[in-house]
Amino acid sequence: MIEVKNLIFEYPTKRALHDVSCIIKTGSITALVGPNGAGKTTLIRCIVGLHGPFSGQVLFDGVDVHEHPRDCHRRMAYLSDFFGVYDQLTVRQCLTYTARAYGVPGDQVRTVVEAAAERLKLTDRLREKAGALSRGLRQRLAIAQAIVHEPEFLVLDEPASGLDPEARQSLSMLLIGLRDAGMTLLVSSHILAELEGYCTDMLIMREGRIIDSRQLAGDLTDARRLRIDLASPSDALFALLEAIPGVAQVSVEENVATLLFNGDMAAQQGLLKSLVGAGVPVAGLREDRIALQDAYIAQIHEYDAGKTPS
Amino acid sequence: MRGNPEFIRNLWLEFTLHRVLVMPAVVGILFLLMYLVNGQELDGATAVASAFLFSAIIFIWGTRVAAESVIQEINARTWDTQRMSAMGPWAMAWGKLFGSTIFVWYGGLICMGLYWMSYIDILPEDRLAKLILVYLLSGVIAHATGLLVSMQAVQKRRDFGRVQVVFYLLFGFAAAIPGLYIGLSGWADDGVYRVMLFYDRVFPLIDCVLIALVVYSLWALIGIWRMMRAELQMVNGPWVWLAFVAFTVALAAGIRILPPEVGKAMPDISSKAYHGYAMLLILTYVIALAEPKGPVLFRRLRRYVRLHDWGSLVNSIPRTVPMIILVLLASIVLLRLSEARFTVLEQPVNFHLATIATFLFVLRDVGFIYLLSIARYSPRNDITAFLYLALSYTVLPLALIFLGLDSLTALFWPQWDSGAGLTLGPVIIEVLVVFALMARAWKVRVVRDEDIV
Repeated sequence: MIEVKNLIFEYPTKRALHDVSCIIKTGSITALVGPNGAGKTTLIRCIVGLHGPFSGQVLFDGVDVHEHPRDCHRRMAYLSDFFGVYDQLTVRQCLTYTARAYGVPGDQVRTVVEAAAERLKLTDRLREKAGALSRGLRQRLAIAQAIVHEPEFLVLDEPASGLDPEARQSLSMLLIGLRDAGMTLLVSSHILAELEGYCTDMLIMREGRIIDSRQLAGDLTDARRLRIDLASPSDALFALLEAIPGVAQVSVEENVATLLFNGDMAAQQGLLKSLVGAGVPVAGLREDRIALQDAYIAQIHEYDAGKTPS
Repeated sequence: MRGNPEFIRNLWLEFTLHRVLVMPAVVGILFLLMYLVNGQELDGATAVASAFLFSAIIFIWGTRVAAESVIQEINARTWDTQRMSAMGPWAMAWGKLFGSTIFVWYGGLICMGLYWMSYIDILPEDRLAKLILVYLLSGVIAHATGLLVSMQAVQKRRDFGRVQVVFYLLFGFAAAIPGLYIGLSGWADDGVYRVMLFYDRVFPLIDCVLIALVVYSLWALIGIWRMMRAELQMVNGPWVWLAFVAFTVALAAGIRILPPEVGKAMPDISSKAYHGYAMLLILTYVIALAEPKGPVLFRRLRRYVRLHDWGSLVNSIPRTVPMIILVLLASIVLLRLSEARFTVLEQPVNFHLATIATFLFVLRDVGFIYLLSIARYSPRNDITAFLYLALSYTVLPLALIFLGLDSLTALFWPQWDSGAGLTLGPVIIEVLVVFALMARAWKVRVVRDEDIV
């Protein structure tokens, strides 16, 4: 788990982070969103230990990143929005260098290099010079470099910028794959629709502050947010749902009900069965991912309204 | 070396088959040309040609490569990858210093081989070996200084162009010149060792130069290591810098620089103390101009004071602060060691007043350097301060002298034989003005900004 505590960062002419605190849960893919100049990159660079904060702490599994940067760097990786690769080296040399630089033992270097190349579909490019690769392939190489030592925590700053739709899709799949392999990811991006596809949590930044932190999908815990579409409104629905074990945060509006459900798929089937059995006109039941764009816009407006003097 | 990824990466980049073949071919052809022009004789002329080639390859090309080694990473946006790696600062320091220059050393060693061939039948072997060592160690000093200066600049800015690289190259080149010049003149024309006095004992000049080159190469490498630590967000305390100051001041104190007639004229002053004091002043200006500073640092220091976090305060406080304290203490020691007045080269000197004025001028200048860095944000603050100070010590007082207004030079130079009013009055006013302005800038940029940012 990464815990950011009361982080303040100052540039010579402005304070970029104002007492920022947040938690990035192990196994999550957290989206870091916010307008330009909100402080996303500064926060990311503080989290990975590239910027020393004015005050505050970043704890990586309880270890202070700024007190023990090298110990933490072995276990994390960061890919900047404006990354570079060694153009004169081959893809294999780039990956070998990075693996060695991250302290991978000599006898394992070849294995991890080939595994990273395989994961990023670069195996047939290992002998090519990095400078000869296309933008998309360079991006893949940069990500392969970042994950070659199998970090526990991967931070990507605007990873999809400059990629075509197909490459973005494959990036999304890759990030989900990395999460499934046990990595925790923090991804900053402007393209909210794309983050929606794979992020489990969201941090919204504005003017150097975290103005909202929320879970987007329930796949980290047993609780999932469900949405029930009705053919027609049902007066009894609210009470029915409240009475079902494992159901919380029920909201019913016209033909739609949402709830937080703590149970497996069999329990979900039971819930559906009991509603249909009670005569509720259920037209559909699905897991409801919070619309990232809507949540983001709503939070930004709420924050701005709160700042406006009444 | 096999285990240093940075060194290996540089080997991959620098030692391509093409380059490995081209370097000896080019050097060999140029040397062959000189050999033919020289009537197919190996002698001083071919040795000079080899040394010239060595200098071009090592001092110009090599120093540029070393100075660029981190800057290129920043410009190519690969520096963050290195900073995020698990490589330690020491491995990065020597991996960069020797890795980035490995190819130029390949060429340089070929040149030195040709130098050896040219002189082997002319000079004694030990003398030839020492000459070659002077060249090689001067090369290391040049590279290390170029890298050190560029890394010091990296602490303040992240945008670099060719002009900056040439600037750092010149620093590296300048650092090599004294050792090279003194080392190559280590023998008289008849081949006898020249000697030097060090703490009143006689030593062969060449041996002293070689030891100094080795020691300062190590100091430069230590400096690069400290800079790497800073880049990796590791805390650097002041102790290594203070150890360097102590070493260099002690070294300077032991070397007789003043002409004997001046030394004789100052019986009551230890000329050693005077040399050490002069070196201390130089190092104070160097660190005041070189180290990063600005409102963010001062706000951080204020915070440490508020939190009574004295350890962090000591680690973060600008090195200039202990240097000023050392200059003050050294000034007091000089005052105690010296007569108040004496005559040097038939010129009367009011040494006590001049020493106090010197300390006040240092205080003024350091205050001015810090005033600029607090009052405005610019990565060029220090170079601006340096230019203003250079003008105030050269053009302005010289202009006053030419205008016949000698007494006004008290505004710019410590006076050697004037009354207390003229020697101390102007500089005291200047110190007060500078520190008043600094206090005002501090209130606005450090204290008030801290409340509103």
